[in-house]
Amino acid sequence: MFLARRELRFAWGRFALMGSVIALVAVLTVMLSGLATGLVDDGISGLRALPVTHLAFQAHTDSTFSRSTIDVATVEQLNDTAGVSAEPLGLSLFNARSSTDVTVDLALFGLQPGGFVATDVLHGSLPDAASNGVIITQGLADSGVHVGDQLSFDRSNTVLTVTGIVPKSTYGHVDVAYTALAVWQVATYNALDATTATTLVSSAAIVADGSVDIGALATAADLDIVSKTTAFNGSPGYSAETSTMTLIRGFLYVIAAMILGAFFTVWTIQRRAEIGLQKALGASTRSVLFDALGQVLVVLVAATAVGVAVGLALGALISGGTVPFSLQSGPVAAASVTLIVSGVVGMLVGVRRITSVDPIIALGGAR
Amino acid sequence: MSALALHDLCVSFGDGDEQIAALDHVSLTVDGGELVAVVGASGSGKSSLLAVAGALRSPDSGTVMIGDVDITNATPSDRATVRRTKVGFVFQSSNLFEALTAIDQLIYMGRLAGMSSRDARAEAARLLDVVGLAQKANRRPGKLSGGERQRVGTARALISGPAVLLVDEPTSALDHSRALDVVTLLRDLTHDRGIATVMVTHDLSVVELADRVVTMRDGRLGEIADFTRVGD
Repeated sequence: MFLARRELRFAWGRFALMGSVIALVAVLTVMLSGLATGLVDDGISGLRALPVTHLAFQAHTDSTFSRSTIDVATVEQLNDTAGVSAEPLGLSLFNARSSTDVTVDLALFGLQPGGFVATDVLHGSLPDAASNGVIITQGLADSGVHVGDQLSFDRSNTVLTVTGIVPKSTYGHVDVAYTALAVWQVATYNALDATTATTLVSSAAIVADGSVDIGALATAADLDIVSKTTAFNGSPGYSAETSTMTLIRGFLYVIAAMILGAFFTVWTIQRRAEIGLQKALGASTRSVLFDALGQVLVVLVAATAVGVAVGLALGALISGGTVPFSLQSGPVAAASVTLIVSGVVGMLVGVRRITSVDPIIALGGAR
Repeated sequence: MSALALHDLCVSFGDGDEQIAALDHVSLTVDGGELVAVVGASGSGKSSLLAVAGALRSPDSGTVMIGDVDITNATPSDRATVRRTKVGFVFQSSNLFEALTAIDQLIYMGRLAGMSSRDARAEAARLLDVVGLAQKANRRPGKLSGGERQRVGTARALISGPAVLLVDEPTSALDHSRALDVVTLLRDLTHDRGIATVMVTHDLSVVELADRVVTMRDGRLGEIADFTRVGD
């Protein structure tokens, strides 16, 4: 690294230019990571918070809450299976208007009072069915809905009173609210009479231990039973959003690799005479390569660190606003490491020419 | 035993459909403390001679001995080791690293040859003093004159304590006065350190400083005793 370190200092302008490009890519990577995580949170955080291992849906409905309707009796049968705890879970998207004339979209969860979902998510604060109460999440409160307000739901004559506020949670990019299962059933299946409506639910929340054969359970009950993670795909737009973000990030890594590859190809070609001189003086190809790799890693890691720092600072400004943006250390670290690995791959393509430089070029006239 | 012994060397290369003999049964021995000048026109094979003698390439046939080590068929890795430890190169136009100061040029070579950082720095400072550049140790090549660059190149070639010094057109970018200075320095160092030096040049004005002058023409070597007849 003796020569490499001094070249970094001597040609700092060239390396700074390259570093700034990498830093910008790193900024973009962090922003995309934050946006991807934010979109995921916005799409499924309400679902992710559920204390379940699996969710059961009506067969052939693509594990989608809006299309699935199952009998509560079927859920009770699931609950009778050894190693399985199951309870009805309702989820529907509504438009509602508050008594203070605030219009909101919301994802209304219907939870079984005293059930394991309500206990875990709301710590026992779920209003009973008779009170026609609803607990809203912070996002709805931020929209201007307050405790004591009444919410009138479209498509039904349901009017619920806000009884509490819990931390922000979303599903399908709308804020979540929780109510008792029976209230949810009447609001959702409003075309049916109340007796019939209370026999139906959109899904079952399941906690199954490792010994349970989920496939056999699903077949026996004629349901689609999927893991909680798989159920995320049923969230509106979730698959399209995550695959789009993954595609964009993938392209970004490829672009980073290509930029570095192109830079170091040109850099290596420009340095051909010096590489020949190094070899003529007795430096092994391995040590020349090691120097070049070290040089690249210094630029890559430093530029990525700067870019990530700038990205985090920008992300902090964006977080909490209307844009779904969430920075978490895991995805940011993974994105940074992937960027560095992409850069190293690109650089390897660029500096491979070092191996083919003949030391004889140090002698001007020799062939 | 000669410090450098080249015996019956042949080197050829393709030029279109033709094979050109760069070295045609060339033999040359150089003793320690002897400066041999090789003169000849461009394309006569001078640089090919240096390339083979300096382990930059292997000959098609013949033998290359540096001291008692036969490097004729050495592997690329072994040839690199020879270049680090047994051979010093002074290149045309000095061929210094743009990013390194004068002293760093020498330290780099010293480290390559296996010296510790401290030893390399001490020896580099001493050698720069020997070649009269102690005051300019921290200047990069761009801030040195052509003659100074060539002296740095010479000091760099010496830091590994080579048995053989191979010098490629050291005066090609210098005026006559500076050319004489550089070749005088090379001669003195050769004699003082007992190095076998081969200096390739087409500058006839400096060959009088050599102990021996040989000519090359069409890949063949001819030895002459009287340098004033070199151009004949």
